[in-house]
Amino acid sequence: MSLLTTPEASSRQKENQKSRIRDTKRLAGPRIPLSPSKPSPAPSSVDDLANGLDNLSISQAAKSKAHPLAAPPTNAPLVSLNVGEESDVLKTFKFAPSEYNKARAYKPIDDYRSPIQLLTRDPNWAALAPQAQHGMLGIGNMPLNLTSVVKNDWQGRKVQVSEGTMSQARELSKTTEIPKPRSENPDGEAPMHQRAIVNHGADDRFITQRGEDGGFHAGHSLAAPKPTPIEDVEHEQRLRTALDIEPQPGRILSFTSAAPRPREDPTFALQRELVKPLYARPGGVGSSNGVYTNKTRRIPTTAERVLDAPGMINDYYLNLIAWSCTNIVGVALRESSYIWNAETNETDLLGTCEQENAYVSSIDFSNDGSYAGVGIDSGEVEIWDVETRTRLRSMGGHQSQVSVLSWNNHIISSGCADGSIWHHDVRVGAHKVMELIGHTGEVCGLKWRQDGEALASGANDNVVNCWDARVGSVGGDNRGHPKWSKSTHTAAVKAIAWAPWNPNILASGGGTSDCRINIWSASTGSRLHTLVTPSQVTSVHFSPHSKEIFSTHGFPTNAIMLHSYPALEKVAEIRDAHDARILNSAVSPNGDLIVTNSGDENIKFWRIWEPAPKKTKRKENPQVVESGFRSIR
Amino acid sequence: MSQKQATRNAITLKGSTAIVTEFFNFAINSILYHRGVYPAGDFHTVKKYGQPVLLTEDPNLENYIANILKQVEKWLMSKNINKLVLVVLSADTRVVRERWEFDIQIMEPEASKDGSIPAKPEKDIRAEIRGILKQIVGSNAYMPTLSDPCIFDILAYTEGDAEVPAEEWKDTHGHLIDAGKAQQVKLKSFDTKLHRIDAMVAYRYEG
Repeated sequence: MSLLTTPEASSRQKENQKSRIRDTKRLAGPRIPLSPSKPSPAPSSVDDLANGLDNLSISQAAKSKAHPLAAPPTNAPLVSLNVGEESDVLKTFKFAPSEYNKARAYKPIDDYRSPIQLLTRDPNWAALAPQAQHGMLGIGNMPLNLTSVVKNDWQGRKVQVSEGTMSQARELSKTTEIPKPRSENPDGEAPMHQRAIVNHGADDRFITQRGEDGGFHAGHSLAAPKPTPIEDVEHEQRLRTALDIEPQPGRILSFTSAAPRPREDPTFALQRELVKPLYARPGGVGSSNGVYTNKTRRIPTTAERVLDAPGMINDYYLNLIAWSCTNIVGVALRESSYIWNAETNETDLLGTCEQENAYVSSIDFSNDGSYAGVGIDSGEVEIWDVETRTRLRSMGGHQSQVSVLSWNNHIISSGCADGSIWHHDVRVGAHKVMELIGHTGEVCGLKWRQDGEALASGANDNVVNCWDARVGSVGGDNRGHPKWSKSTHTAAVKAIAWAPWNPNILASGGGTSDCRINIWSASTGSRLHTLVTPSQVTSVHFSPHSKEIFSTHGFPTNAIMLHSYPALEKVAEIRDAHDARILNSAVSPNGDLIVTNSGDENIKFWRIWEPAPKKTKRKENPQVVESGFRSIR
Repeated sequence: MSQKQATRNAITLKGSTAIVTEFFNFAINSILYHRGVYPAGDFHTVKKYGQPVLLTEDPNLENYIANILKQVEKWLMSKNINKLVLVVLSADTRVVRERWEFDIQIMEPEASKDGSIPAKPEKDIRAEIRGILKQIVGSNAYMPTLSDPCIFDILAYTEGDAEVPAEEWKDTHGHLIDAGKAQQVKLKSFDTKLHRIDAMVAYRYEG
């Protein structure tokens, strides 16, 4: 890059030149020996040429100095740049005061009047002549070079200075803003200048290119516009004209307008990725009206009946609806629980909490449908007689809200917000017969298997537990441990369902950040299937008579979905079945209707399945299930 | 019938150009998706070449690529283009990070007796293209991740005498990656008997 005075250095330079020439062989047109200003040349292409041209122009000053003809005294015609003249060159050459002072550190100021002049004063200029004849030498990245562009014959024997070229070049330098040397890599560029300074010490007349890496422009250099490609190209073309180089045979073109930027900031994209379960899920693509039904199955997409349910608490963790085998729907609305008779279409108040500001947090009917278990937020489990609408007993003990209840004959199991599950024997005074510790979060899903031999629970700690009812004896402080425990879900597990036609199959559905329905083998705990749904799963049911899974969903689809089992193909989807998220659902005793309750304070009845072929209440009848169970064994 | 058979079994410059242009569209989209130049949410999956391929849903980007490819198609028809390069630059510093090169070579197959060129089975072409697209997907394994926002540019290397719509295309430089910091990987090729596309990727690697 700078003046090299030692023979080794010059030989190295030649080596570099050679390699560069080899690299540029692919370029058609006149071959330009380029000054090795960059340590390692890029693979051949126009870039090389462009770099070469930059360097070429930069190094012309050195060459002109090196040639006897081009190095006349100060007043020679070529060197028309005197201090007083205030030429363009000197304008560009003007340093900021600090820069000026720094430069002074190396040499006396009068050396800077003109690059040419100062080069002629080099006592060693003769030593440089061979290199100069061979090619060019660079003199830093001085932006002065265009004025002294000299046409050279590349044989290195003779140099002719064309006055026309000179004036052309001078003119160019007036009109052209000379692109600054690339500063993309300050680490790569800066040491080069510094090295030069160190090597040559105070005798160096090399004028450092400050401004890119120096301190004086530090504030600007970061913001300084880099040469855009178009400027580069124009500059290159001007140089080509100035140097009489034939244009390249090919062109590199780019589209004038820049590519459109991504619509959003990437950080937004990340955010969007994080909240993706809310609105973009695989399998979540519905039709335009939000209704999807299989072609072979005709499913009514509107509710068969809608009931008003004022005061329905919009809480995911509560289980506020149940349908008994006597065809009675129980609904808990704030502090009261109501029963609606599906046959007579009569509504009655079942009962109200005694405590102030209490609310009913769960409701479930016993297997025979004569009793209703009601869980209260204060931790009591109440047993109500459905027929007489009287409270039979209240079983306390839980420390916090009872979010879910499940009956198994004389045992009512309650899931509590503290993560415990208690078995209450309703027949005896000391009602708590077992405590199941297996959850650390609020238990919100709890279902006994039809045969009463297994209990499945899901909780806010994302865990699904399967308990074996036969393990453990009756006793107040008896603690059960889960048969198996799964933490596959990534959100609270509220939806739990046993397949009525196969006691080995358990389904569980996860909440907002999970949205999956997992099908488990109850005996081994292995995951048989996983179904990804577009939104929070709030409840899941197997069809009593056909191999299908019904599920209800929360925001954003508020959908009810029907999938086949085990293929898990979507049979039907009704989006926005409710205006708010669906909280829970219950299947009618004959298995044709499903009731859903929602945060929009409506209860809707959907005719999803055909009633059982035989008029038996298979779902709620343990006899049938038991025989089915035996046959499987 | 035999006439029909003949046309189907022959390849024309137009047909070959269509195949190549279509490939460029999918290749560009794949690169932009897999290298994360555009957010993944902007893309949707389509089935192409017997595999799922991602196409952008951003109408601006779609138009942009379509406009470029329209001109590329013209150049292909006039046999004036010899290379298409997709350059991925860092948005802030404009440092070239990746250079996806597609060399276009005009092949001169021998024509059959009636002057038509027997076509290469579409299945074979598809399989070759699939190979390239899979390599683009696989490139994520060895190429450094682009953690900062990036932009892209498409360069067309044309013959000097190519017709260039001046208001749409401008001369530029090659956006080469600084030597010594570049790693190159040769990707697979495909040909239609009229065009041969050699793919290559160079990326900036400061290890």
